[in-house]
Amino acid sequence: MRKNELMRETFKKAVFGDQIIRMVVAPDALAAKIAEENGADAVFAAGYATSASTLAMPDRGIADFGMMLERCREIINAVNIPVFADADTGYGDLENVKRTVRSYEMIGAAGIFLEDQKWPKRCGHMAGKSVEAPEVLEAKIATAVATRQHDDFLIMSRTDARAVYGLDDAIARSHRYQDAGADMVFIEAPRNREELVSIHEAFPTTPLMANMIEGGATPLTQTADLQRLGFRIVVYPTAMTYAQTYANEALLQSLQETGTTQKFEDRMVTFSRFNHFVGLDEVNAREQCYTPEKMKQYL
Amino acid sequence: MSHLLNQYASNRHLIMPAIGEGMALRLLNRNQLVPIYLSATLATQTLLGETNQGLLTLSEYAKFLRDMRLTTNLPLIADLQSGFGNPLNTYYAAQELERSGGDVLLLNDQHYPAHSEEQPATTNLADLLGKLRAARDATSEGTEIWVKLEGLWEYGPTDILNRMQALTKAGADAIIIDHWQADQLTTIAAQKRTIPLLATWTPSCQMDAQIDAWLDTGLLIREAQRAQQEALAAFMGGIAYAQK
Repeated sequence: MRKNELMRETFKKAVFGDQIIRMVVAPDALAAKIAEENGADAVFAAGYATSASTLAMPDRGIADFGMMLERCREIINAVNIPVFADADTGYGDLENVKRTVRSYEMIGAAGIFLEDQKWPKRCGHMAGKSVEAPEVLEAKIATAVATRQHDDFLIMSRTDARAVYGLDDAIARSHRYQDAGADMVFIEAPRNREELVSIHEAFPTTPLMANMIEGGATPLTQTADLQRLGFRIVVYPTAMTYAQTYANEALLQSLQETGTTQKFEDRMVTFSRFNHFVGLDEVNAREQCYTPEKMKQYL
Repeated sequence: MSHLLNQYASNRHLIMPAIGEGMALRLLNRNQLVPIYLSATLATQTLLGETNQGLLTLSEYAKFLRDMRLTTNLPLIADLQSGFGNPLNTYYAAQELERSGGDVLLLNDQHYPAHSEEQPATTNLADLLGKLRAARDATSEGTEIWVKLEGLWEYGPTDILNRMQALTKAGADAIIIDHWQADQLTTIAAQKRTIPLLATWTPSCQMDAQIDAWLDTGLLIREAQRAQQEALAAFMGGIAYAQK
């Protein structure tokens, strides 16, 4: 079984299994590998982190399809756990949605979500969002489902209507998106525990995702608690980006103050440990497989 | 042994067209049912406006391959060139081209970086075997590795047979002879072999019956360039007329 098939199958089994999936947003391939090595069940290649790591800019619809796709591809190639992808609005009309779906499926993503914000979109927890009429995402979801080549390439609907029209509208839209073919539902930015409960009551058997963003609209909730509330996936979209930024700032302040990185060494991985982590031993061993001496057997 | 070529065994004169841009692939997609060769030389012309394939990097070529893969279900022959470096580079390049949609990876025996020329410098057999084994190890069972031998002018028919024998033993699925002359090709094709033997093709070439299939070198793009030159002449003529 090729990696793409295995990752789709693994993700689908997990989504429809009985344990909540802890999905970490990785800003880049190295972060994804760190997430994999430290217990994440899946990685999410998402807009907030990609905008930050690629452009050093906010998630305001400036990172385009090409950037998002390429970053997701780098992450997929670096890990052996499923990678789910943020496909934003599908980047245009239904023709764009087709290309988006085909592209993410081809690079080996386990699935994507498509959302109903107006382009240029913004992070779901930022102020000033606006959403399309529900017919727009309904058509995109139906198109995505018809375009995918494998049924286990999962399509999630995301609505941002909670912030614009309230929870009831967000739930009603999500029912329409599900009827259009969405395998999973994501209602962005519920404001309290009661809303999380209401979402599960509205979708008792549908895989649901909860978004735990530090400083966001939804209260940070324990993974086990989210599982009890009926959520199948919990995603941490900003934690690695914020932690990286915090650590880098502290490092550079220390350098500025002391003129050396020496005082910060105890908060770094070592040269040898890092080389080991990124697979230097394997690369060196691989090179040794193809020396002229080893090729004599074919002469 | 090439399972892909077996599917076309009934086609006695199988010619696999070479393309380097999307509209030609679109055209072939409608009219042909044969494998398509995504030539790095032709892609370099399209993407960089240059004629030297050695200028095109792996990531640039792989992106082109992925874009083309999205538009067709036809088998695609991806140009692994000379492996983009040493056998270690070849390992990762093969992995990248396979996951970018290549059904066949075409490795040539040029010295890295590969060049688009009639008499390119070639690498030694040990290095070539290392690259072939690396490509083999990097890819899954369904992906084929074909090796294009480009140094006939340098090492001659006798040495090419040694190369073919070693490459067969090391796991090549097919061999392609490039930059050949008719008498040389006849000599090579007359030898006993266990994997398919192909040769590069131009419209004026003599098609030896012993050759299993043919690899185009860019007829479509050459014709398109000729048409463009004619259009350009008409365009310039129009400007000259208007200026009068």
